[in-house]
Amino acid sequence: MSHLRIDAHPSENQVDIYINGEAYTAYEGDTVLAALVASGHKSLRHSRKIGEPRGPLCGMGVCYECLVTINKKPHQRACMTEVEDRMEVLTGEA
Amino acid sequence: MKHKEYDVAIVGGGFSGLVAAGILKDHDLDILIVDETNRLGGQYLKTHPIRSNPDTERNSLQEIGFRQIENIEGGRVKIMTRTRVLEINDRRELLLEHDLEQLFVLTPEIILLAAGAREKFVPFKGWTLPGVISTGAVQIMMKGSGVIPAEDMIIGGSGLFLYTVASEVITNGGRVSTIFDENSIIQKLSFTKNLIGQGEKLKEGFGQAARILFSPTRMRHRYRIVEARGENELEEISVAKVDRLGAVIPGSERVQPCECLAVGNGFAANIELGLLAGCSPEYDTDKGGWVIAAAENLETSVPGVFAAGEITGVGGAHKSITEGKLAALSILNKLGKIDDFQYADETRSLRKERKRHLQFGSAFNALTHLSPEKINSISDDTILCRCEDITMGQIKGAIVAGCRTPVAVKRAIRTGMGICQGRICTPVLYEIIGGFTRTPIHELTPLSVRGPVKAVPLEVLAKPISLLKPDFPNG
Repeated sequence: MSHLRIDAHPSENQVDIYINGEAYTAYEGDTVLAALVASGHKSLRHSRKIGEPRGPLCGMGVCYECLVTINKKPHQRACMTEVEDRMEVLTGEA
Repeated sequence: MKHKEYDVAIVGGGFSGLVAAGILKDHDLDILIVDETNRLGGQYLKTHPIRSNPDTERNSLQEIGFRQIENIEGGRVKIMTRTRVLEINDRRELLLEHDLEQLFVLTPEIILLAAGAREKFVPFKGWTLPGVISTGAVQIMMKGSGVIPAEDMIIGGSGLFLYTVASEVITNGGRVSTIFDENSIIQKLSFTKNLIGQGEKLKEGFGQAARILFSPTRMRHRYRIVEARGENELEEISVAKVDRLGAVIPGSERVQPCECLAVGNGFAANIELGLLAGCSPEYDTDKGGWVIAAAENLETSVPGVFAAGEITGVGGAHKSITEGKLAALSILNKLGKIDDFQYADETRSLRKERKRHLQFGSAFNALTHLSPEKINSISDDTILCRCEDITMGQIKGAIVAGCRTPVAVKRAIRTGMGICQGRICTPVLYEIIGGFTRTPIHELTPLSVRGPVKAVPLEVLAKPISLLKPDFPNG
């Protein structure tokens, strides 16, 4: 899904991460949220009470709609975390 | 024995915090600046750490900002990023959490709150569907990570930020098929008279307008997004005409396909830390709603606690720079580093500038004002509090049942008790309660704030707390 990348250059430091077990190549400095969006993930979790699908809203650490599990730690804000090599990201928290 | 404390703790590394730190550091003071994000600069200076080329395409504001960051690095300024303030009490004790690993406590002589603002939203049915994001999120994703959320998007809401983001999407090679603006062209044009004499803002505005006009983007004025629909993610939206006051014109709805919708309705000040520190809030529509009340020298109602930037009134980067300077000089005066005469002399032009920025801010905020008609048009099945899945109908029900204050509504149905702690829903909740109970908003008491002000896992709170003492590896 590289069409969502504005200006990725091959010379940049690539960072290999796993999203729900699937390998994805992000770039150093990307937020986990940007990597999720660029790889086509819209829905990230389900709402607490009625369980409807939710995706990111504010992108700046305020709304907590982009909570995902990162390296086995649940409830991490994808928008406030930068990708690291071999990072494992799981979506679908309730 | 009392250990040495920081003289000034600055909360927030955006424009005001940076500018203040840059002035304070030359006066033999120990300064701490904390920011929640990965690097200093706030939203305005957010750039990709690897991808951005420092030699190109910086406007003069960015130039000022990046120079400030270089200026304070290596001085007697301790910089702590990825650090959140969990608690402040009225004795100026701060509890900090760093990287979800460490807890620190400190009692600085002075606290400068420069916590910025967040986006404000007017909810509509289906706005919780994945694919509906904020205009701010679009900008941050592009600036910070070089990613556009979709190849083709629609932007809707009110205020000038819609156009800023649209123009940036177009510059970055994305497509904005339509901008649905709730205001009329007249309302928007009447705003531009506030730009006369403010060359840089005027230039920026014309640049954005030109980029949008020369793109295939359609502009639709006096339209509101009334519904977002889709199975598990956004597939189509319904838009309707609104009248002069902001009420939806019945029968004007029409549906169109949409894969990504970016929405925004101006900004709300991040007042939570100020409330926690015991600072009096003030409600002023010219300032974008509830803000932290500050005197002309930017000291809050709590002695020793100052506020600068968006939290004293939404007004943009120029206002934040001016207030950062003003707050720093006021702090120096309070600490006896400059005398009253020098203070008056050095702040004269800043105080004048500040008035001009507040005036600009009031015109800017007027475009995103939540009229009772807009509030009335939110349908009962619209989710208001996203954390707790609470609808407009439930809130109206609580009000009809006798809850006439924000705290009463919160106790009855848990609005604002979720993980975001009311940051998304309260700005509109206050307007709803004020509107339906016919109470002027300034007579309502904003919901009180309890620490920790941001959600923290329990195992982090269980960690030992260390005293944070002045420590300057480079200075």
